[in-house]
Amino acid sequence: MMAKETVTCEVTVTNEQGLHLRPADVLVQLAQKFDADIELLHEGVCCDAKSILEVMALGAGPGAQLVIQARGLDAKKAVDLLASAFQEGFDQVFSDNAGGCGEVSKD
Amino acid sequence: MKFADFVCAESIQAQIAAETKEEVILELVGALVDSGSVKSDEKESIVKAIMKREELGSTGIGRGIAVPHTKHPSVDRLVATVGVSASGVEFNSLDDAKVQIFFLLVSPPDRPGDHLRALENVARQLRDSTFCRFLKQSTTPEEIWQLLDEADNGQFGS
Repeated sequence: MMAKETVTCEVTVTNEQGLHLRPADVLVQLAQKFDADIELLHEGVCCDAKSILEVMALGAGPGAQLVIQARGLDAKKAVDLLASAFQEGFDQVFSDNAGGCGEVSKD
Repeated sequence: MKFADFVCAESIQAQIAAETKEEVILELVGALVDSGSVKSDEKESIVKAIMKREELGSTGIGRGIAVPHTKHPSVDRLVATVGVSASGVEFNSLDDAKVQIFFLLVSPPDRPGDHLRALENVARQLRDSTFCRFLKQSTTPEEIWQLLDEADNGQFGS
């Protein structure tokens, strides 16, 4: 039942130079900690948040709006952590008890 | 942004001889110097800056690909070269695999957008496994340039 939940959250790229290699690397490493399938949506393109090539290929610049969506048992936790990473500009050390932005929808 | 917008054709290295990270960066920056894309008296400073960036985390992003790069005030536009190593080079990559395909970028400090667009293009094209395979099999700069041109013209997947 829980595994069918899709958790989504809208985020903005806050770091000055966009999702260049280093922030993309941080994002992917964080995403890989989770079992959930995690995707990023940007301008109609959907990519696997666990693939650095795919995240870099988004070319998301500063201020870009993205949607994180995750499916799986730890989806909510994953989305909350990634959302806080976006908010912090990928420069900080992240804790597991990050704020809750993830919206759960059952399907 | 297309490869033709930032890759300097005359600097492409199809048969990298270097066996270490520093050597390969030296070889590729040297190729940019030889092609006139960067000034020879800036070579050392650019190599140093790229190595410093590597210390923050390897630009070896896995699947045999690395994108060593730096911002540098000596260039007034983004310049890049491509190198291919048949045997691969240890690069402390994310997946620990040796690197065979290098895209080395030097960009002006005040043009972060161009750097992002170039990375986007490199990543988008390299997602295609056929493009990667053909690059790794290339033995001449002409073959590599032709592959980049074909990629620019949308002949590989995305």
